[in-house]
Amino acid sequence: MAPTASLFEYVASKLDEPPLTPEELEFMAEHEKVTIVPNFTLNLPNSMLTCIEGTYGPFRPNIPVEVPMYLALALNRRNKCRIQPPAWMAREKLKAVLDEERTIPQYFQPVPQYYVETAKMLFAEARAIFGTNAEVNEIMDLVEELKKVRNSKILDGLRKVSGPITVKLNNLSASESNKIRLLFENSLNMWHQLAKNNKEWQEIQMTGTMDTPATL
Amino acid sequence: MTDYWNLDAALAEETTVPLRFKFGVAGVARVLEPGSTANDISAGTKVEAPLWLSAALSRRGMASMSAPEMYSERYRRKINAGAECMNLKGRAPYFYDVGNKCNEFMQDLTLSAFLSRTYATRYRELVSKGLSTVSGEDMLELQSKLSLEELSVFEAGRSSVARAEMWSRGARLRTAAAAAPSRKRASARGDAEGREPRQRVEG
Repeated sequence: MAPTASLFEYVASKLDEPPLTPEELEFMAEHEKVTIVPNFTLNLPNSMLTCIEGTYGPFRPNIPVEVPMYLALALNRRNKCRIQPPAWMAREKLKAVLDEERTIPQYFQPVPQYYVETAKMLFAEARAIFGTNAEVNEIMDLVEELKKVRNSKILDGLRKVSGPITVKLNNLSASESNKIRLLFENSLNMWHQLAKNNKEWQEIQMTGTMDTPATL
Repeated sequence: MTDYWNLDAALAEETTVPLRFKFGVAGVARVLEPGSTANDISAGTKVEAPLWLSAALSRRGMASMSAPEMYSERYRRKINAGAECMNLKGRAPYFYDVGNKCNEFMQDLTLSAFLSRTYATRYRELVSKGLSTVSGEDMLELQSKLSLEELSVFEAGRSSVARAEMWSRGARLRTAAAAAPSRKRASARGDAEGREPRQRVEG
């Protein structure tokens, strides 16, 4: 019979280097596409910009074009474009999702995978795209509310876990799943180890022998 | 084989368990039984030995071990009544680990079910306090009662939420390396600009 593993093997202390940091998630979120309206003409063939990971364009004044977020933010910083707010960030849409989220406690509403990161980046660098100050604050509050409601739903769901079972967590955004990643994974591992111990004992009872191997 | 280099696992095995020798042992009486007068341990004596020793001897059939006091009937009743209030850090910091290892050698079917049940109750508190962003006395109070295994799970949750909070507020992790280069660059730039016009005038 193999010696039982220590629980500390599973509950690995990856505290100083977590597998995924929020900054890395922000980096990945910068790949999401947004629509911008440039105010310049790109002096390249076809006005297309060739980056390592794709070609974007054509960049002509007042003609909307879809680019990844990092490009949109870079152009915005140089005042070369106007970013259009993503469709899911319209006030009515946010209100509808928030209401759905509140009324149905079992499921999560489908949200963009990087909604937290996108919202943060847009509010930090391009507040004006949402309209007046009052409107910007309103949308910021709506997004905050959404985060809070989903967060409490996640905690409620986690509390109900009471063994090494499979849990259904649909439609979780990237930042939310990163928050619970370490804790959830490690506690499931602890459950698993405790349950494994139980099973080993039951098997020994059934076979009826308890051999003592000579080696440690 | 368990992770040989894991420091916490090694420390967990230092916990003492009651051990009953089947045969006599020569020369170690002073070590295992600090108050004894003889040099040898006679067969049938009960001592408190560390888990690593007890497990090895039990496997070779030279001694029989039993669970530490923490898993006895009296304590089990106490824990079953109020699992989340028990101060595991003070009494048995390696509660789950030692319990798991003892399970191998003892004729006790209910031990691991008992461990699972305890963990289930305490886990609920762990989650609520660990993943909330408000720190405070509640959290500290809970932290002082957790066993070391639970503590690492709790820390994992708390640190990931703390990182996310810091990031969303726009703060950066402060490290010495991050602060120094910016200052050096600014001073170097200043020096270079100061030096260049002078050189041009001289040349």
